[in-house]
Amino acid sequence: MRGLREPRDLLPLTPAVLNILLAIADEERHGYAIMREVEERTGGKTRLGPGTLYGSIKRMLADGLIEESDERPDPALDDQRRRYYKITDFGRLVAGAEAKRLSALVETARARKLLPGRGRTLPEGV
Amino acid sequence: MSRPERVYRVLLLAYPREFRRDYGPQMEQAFGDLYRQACERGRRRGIGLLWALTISDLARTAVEQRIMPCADHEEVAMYDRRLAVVGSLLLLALLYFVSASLLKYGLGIGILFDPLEVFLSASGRRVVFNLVSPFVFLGGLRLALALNTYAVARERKKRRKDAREYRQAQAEVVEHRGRRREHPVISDAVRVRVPRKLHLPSIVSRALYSLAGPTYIRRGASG
Repeated sequence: MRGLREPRDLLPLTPAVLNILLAIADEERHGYAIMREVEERTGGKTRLGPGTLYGSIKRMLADGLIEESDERPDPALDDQRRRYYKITDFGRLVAGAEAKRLSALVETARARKLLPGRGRTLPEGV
Repeated sequence: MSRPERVYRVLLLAYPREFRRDYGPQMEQAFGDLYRQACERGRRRGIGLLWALTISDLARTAVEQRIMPCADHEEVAMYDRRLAVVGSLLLLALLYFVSASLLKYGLGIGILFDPLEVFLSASGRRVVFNLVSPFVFLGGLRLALALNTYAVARERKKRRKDAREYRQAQAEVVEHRGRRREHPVISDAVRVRVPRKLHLPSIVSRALYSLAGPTYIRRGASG
């Protein structure tokens, strides 16, 4: 069933799922590291609770977006109970498709003057 | 283990057993890390914010995890929902006729009965209430019960199938670094809920469930 799925079947992704995919796009991370990365990247605006994180991870594992990693970046410094997650090729495709979808929305917002043109910045407070 | 971590461990009981088994230790560990981080940042405010985030997160996701197994199979959920709508309409129609009759002839209140005058003449109402409604009542009741029985039987069959897949999946679970780990290929089968034996209260509750209908239909990966 999963093998027959197209990336667009899973769109739109929830903010939590997209943030998790972005967090592990460049390197494998464990749950707490994913929470930290999301919080830091969004300047504290998005904070994933443990329930949201592991609920999303459960679904993402089932959908084949991520998988548990066999390798541990630094076993000596790490707690053995931690599980590391990495993005799958299918997960990359889905994240890319979602990014394209969002990009198209941003372009629409630009065309309708809801956002400034490329190279310009939003005024303070927006 | 600190006291807040022990409290969090108790709060985790809100999640289904399977979910706790798979992710409970990791969630406890993540909460412990968050708690230590909050203590470092600013004791009172940080800890207060952490508890606020944790409680709201737990309340939302625990309900979600308990409902999710009912909507794991989209097609079944969609079919069951249609079934539930038909069953509910039948029961509502019955309820309307019975209530209208009782109110009108028992208490003299025509709030439900009188609007029928717009659609039916006096003779038409007589025919409906004296001749048709008993058949509608009995037939509708039988049909509603049949639909519910069918829904329960489908649920039972699905659970048996899930149980078979679950046992197969468990047999294929691979040992990895000294702990049990799901094989990625069979993770779809592993995530189903372990079936329980059907007994009368659960049959009744599922019949009610089939009427209320599964409203959570999964759309893509959910968070």
